[in-house]
Amino acid sequence: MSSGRQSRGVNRREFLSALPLAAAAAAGCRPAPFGAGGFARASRSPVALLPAASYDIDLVDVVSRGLRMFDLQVAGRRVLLKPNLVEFERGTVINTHPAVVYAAAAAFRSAGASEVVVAEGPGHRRDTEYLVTASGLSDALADAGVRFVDLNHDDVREVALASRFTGASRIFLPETVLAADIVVSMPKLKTHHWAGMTAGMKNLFGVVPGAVYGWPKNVLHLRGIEPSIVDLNATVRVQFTIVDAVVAMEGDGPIRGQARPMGFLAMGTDVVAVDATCARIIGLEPQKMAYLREAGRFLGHIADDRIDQRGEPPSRYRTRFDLVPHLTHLRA
Amino acid sequence: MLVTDALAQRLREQVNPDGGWGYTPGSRSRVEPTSWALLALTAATTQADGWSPAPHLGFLRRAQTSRGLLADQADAPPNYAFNALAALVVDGTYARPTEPWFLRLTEAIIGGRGAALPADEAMPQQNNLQAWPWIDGCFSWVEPTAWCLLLLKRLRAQLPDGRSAARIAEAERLLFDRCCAGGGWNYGNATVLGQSLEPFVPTTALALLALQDRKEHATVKKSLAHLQTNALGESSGMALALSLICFVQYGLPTDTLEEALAAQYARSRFLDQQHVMAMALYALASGRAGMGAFHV
Repeated sequence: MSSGRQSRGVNRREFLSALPLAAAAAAGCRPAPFGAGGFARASRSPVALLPAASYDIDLVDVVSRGLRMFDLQVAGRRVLLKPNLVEFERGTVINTHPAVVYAAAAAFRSAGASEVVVAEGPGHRRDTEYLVTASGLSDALADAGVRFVDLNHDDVREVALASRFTGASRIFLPETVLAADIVVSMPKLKTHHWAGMTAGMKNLFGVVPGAVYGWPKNVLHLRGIEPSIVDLNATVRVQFTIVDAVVAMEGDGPIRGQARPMGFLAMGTDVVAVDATCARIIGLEPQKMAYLREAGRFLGHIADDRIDQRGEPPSRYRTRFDLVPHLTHLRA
Repeated sequence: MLVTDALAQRLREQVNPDGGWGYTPGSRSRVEPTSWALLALTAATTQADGWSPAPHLGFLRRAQTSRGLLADQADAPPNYAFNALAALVVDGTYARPTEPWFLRLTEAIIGGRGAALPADEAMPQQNNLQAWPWIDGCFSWVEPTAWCLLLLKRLRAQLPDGRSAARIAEAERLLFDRCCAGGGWNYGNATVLGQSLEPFVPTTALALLALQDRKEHATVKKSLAHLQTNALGESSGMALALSLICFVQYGLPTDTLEEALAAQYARSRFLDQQHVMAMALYALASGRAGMGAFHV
């Protein structure tokens, strides 16, 4: 988000400098910014990479095969698909492609979901009608027979944050998100000129309601982008992630970067592990990305030896994305 | 049925028992959709229809917090953009109210101020300018600044001159500073990391609405030209309705926009967004009458 530097709270440098404190907290010197008891995680996390050469192939089949690789109970549950719909500029690759959203809706419905909704709260534009229509998402929704919920204008409820990396204790969140049994983060894989990379975890910025916090969601920047990413993911637990890396974005993402065909979808039940895998594929070191490293302490796994790769091996896709100059220190 | 009749009927049917409207049918009442619906139905409805503004004004009054600002629900941070909209609606619709609750509301809005931040070479803009944020403690952005600036201009005759003049001047400087290279505004960053960002139609229309008394300023001329070229390019109820409202204040023809807005409703029903239905109803029903609530 281009407004990310309008921050006077915890910025990247401050977040990084606070990490030794977090380590000390782990050693029992001071309270950790999260309660370890509330964050059970498996000892290992599977992540699947499925080939998808273009948006014209049978993506319903790809997503369905991906879903079957995981132990995710879908039958009878309410599923919320949260794509990345930030901005629309013709000819760019800013948003999760509508064909991937359609495929996910069809796959979850086939798997027995009692309800599937697509929901997003765009961070820059409040004109959701324009974004949903111009991006082609409305056609995909009509074809899939699912409804769209504008999370910026949904009814909201204040809840306690499950971790305290930002120092805040509570946040308003949309009722539709809070009522979902399964939240599926469906980002477009992109570099991000402030956070390094935007994938499954960063995608949760879209659940923060604009009608409460404004456009852009400046409060997240004031509290620090990376601490906000961790707090949001600790609070809104993503049960499944589908990353659209059929065509990704490199360079000055998340808006002004260039298209980079990659030809795969990444999926998994551990959003942290999915993001760590994507980071490695595009040439970033997860341990150097503060939000991933912190999330790796309690939300999921980022260590290579804790991630079981399924489908295609990451080596098939590994490359180096162009980065804006101030992010080159994140390279592996 | 005329589009205006259909929109008025939809809004009347969807009012909540507390007198307010939510963003979508069946959702909880909020300040913004209630303000737009109150304005639109006042413009589109006659007393003979048996419609009364009282319950809807009552909702807004009950939304007032101890600080004077209106809030959507307990503990939710009051939003300056929607507070200014509500004040404009009450002021414009009911001719300069003097009730204490309204005076406390306007005082609280005038007292709001965005955060000043250090200069940042990634964004060559004047971060020290302080206009209005969406919520307390945040930076100043285009939409809340536009609404609050418009309110101050409407009320300036009643305010001590030094106070309102200084806020108006700084808010105008901020809008001029954040204008995109080719004219128009987005949410509030014109350039980031050396890349020019694109303007949006709705925010451009709102900023121009707030600058309607600065027609000769080069930034206003450039941005109005941009809007005239692009108003039909973002097909949505919000973009078309706000453009129409803006064009009326600038004395521009609106026939094409009116047709496009009616056609857009037929196509999308504005995704059932009630604040957009009300914007459209106001734009279509009161265009010929000059849209007094937003006139400076």
